[in-house]
Amino acid sequence: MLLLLFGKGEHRYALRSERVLEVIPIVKMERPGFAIKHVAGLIAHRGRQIPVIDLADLLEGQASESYMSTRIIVIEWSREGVLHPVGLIAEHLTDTVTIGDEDLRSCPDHLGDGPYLGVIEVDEDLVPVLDEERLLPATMASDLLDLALPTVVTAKEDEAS
Amino acid sequence: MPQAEIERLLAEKIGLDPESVGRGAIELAVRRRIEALGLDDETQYLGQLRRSDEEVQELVEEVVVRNSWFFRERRAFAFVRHCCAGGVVTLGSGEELRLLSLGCAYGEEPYSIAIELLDLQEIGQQFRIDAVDISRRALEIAARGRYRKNAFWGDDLSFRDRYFERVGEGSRSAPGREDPEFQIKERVAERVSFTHGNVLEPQVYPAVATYHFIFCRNLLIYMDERAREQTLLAIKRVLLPTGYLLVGSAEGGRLPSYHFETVRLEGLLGFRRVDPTGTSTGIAVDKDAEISPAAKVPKERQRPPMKLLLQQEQDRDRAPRTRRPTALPPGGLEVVVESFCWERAGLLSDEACPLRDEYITCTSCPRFKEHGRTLLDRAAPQDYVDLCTEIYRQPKPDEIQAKLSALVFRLADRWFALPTDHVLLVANPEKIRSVPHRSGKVFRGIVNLTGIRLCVSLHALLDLDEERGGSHGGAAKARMIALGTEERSWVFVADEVHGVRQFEDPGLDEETEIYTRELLTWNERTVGLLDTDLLLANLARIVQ
Repeated sequence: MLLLLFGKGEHRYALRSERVLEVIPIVKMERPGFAIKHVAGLIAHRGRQIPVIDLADLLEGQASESYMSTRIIVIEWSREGVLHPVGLIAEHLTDTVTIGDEDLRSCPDHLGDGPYLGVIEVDEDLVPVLDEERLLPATMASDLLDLALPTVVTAKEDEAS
Repeated sequence: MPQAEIERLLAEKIGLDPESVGRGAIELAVRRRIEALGLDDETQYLGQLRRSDEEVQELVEEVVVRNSWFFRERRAFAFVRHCCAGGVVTLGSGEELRLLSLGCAYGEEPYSIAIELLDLQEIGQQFRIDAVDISRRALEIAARGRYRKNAFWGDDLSFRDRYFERVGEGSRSAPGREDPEFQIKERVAERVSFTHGNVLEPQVYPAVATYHFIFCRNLLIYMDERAREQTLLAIKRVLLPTGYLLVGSAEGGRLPSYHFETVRLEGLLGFRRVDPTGTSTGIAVDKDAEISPAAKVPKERQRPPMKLLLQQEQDRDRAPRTRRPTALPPGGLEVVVESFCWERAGLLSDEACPLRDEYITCTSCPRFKEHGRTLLDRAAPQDYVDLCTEIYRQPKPDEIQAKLSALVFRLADRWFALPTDHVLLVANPEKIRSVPHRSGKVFRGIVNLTGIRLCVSLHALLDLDEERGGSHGGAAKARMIALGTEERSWVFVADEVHGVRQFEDPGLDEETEIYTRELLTWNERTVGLLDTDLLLANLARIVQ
């Protein structure tokens, strides 16, 4: 399986690519009407508005910086059979890694409660693999998805012009 | 489909993992073979491949990667020397040291081993090296033992003077330039016996455990799992209980722990084989022993700010030669740096780089990659963010429709296009020879354009003024275009040829003139796309 690698040093993480729609550069964010923990804001993406979770904030407790290597991973969350696009801000996203299914090992104890599927070994480091579905607690996640408005943002402008 | 089948066949025969060489490489090799054999397509080629083992061999020759040079990853040879000199491997009286080089390619590796051992007095004369490769062509070169300059890398080339004869000083075409070749001396060559064979086949190996050292470097990386396992088992079988297997620096991780375990000898990292009998056999991988600290940037350390990082880079690289400001794009940091190491220690420089044994070019060196990443560690400029925001809020552009490629040319003052699948060739005008009683306004005569072809005037057919042809740039721009099929072709003179352009397959349904199917626009010009079928049919009717 193909994984995206982000973060650096001891703070590296991996994310499975199966549910990734697109990886885009950092873009401007709108503040949502009410604050949800770890949520950086809303972005206009491909004609719709999607909520964005700051992974640095979620995993490291520190808001991410906008570097050239900071990117937004657009993934799909499935809730009650419906797929919802969600953005994840990841710093230092410059690599991918391909591993076999058997290379995914179970988490060591200290990572046990985190939103992880397991760990993989990359350059002799253990890198946790995120479970994209468990990033936020269920209630928070549904609040988040309420923010996502599947409105077409640009189509009207196009017609006008 | 045939491509996948060919890949499967290669995997079966030689255990090649298509991902490791890249599917494109296999595709290219197949295309070359199809061309060489004069076949039509991959399906036909696949048939050939299934029928003939020789063809499999030919394809293998095209595909296998075999880049090497003398003393590549020198520490592997140092390891052998260390074992022999340090008494790690001892020989009984009358016993010979036996070594095997799997995937020996052009012979650089087995010869390097021989040189290393000949240098070592302790071993004296008692050693023999078997070398195996799947490529016959490579083995021919290996057996000849003559090498060009590019087979020698690294700082210490003194062995070249001792074990090679310099031959062929200066090539005839450029006598000034030195292009010597190096012929390996007989006393090295006689140590090595080359065998053609596939490492997956049992007949390349002796029946019993024979070898003190087996070199199998940069071969496992190209194999799929089954082939790797099979090869490792064969190696395990022919390696003496006290012997060592040496693999490439990237391959240590691919050895299953139930076969081998790690050992460390004098700073050389290795693996020791796990044997069911309890005796263990070692394998050595030159991993991190002498690699300079630069190769392994400590991961635990958070990267300092960029300026600092570059500062450290200079310290490490010592003796900076040039000093020049490097301005990063707007929004980035402005830093003054010494020249980067790859600018000094590149292929053309004599300056020693501790990593040069590892990587053939600086661009494949991890340091280069590291530097590349630091460029992305600068703050994103505001205008960049603005631009990205604008781009990604737009709906995803649709994939471009099926494209039409057409040859664009001018007749008189109008531009036309012909779909390229009907164009045979474009050439400088040749003399048109008229045919008595037949030549007319449309049919002009015959012309020798890679064969005798019929020449027509599209100007006449399309009712354009031939005289105005030259007014847009003179007769020098005129070209002859042959269209149709090889059996039935027509040649006409175009006043100017622009070249082949890609058009989106047009959807215009405007009422157009008789021969033009559609109108295209190109550079704000209107180009008439000629209806080739109609054109060819009418030409055939007019010129009977």
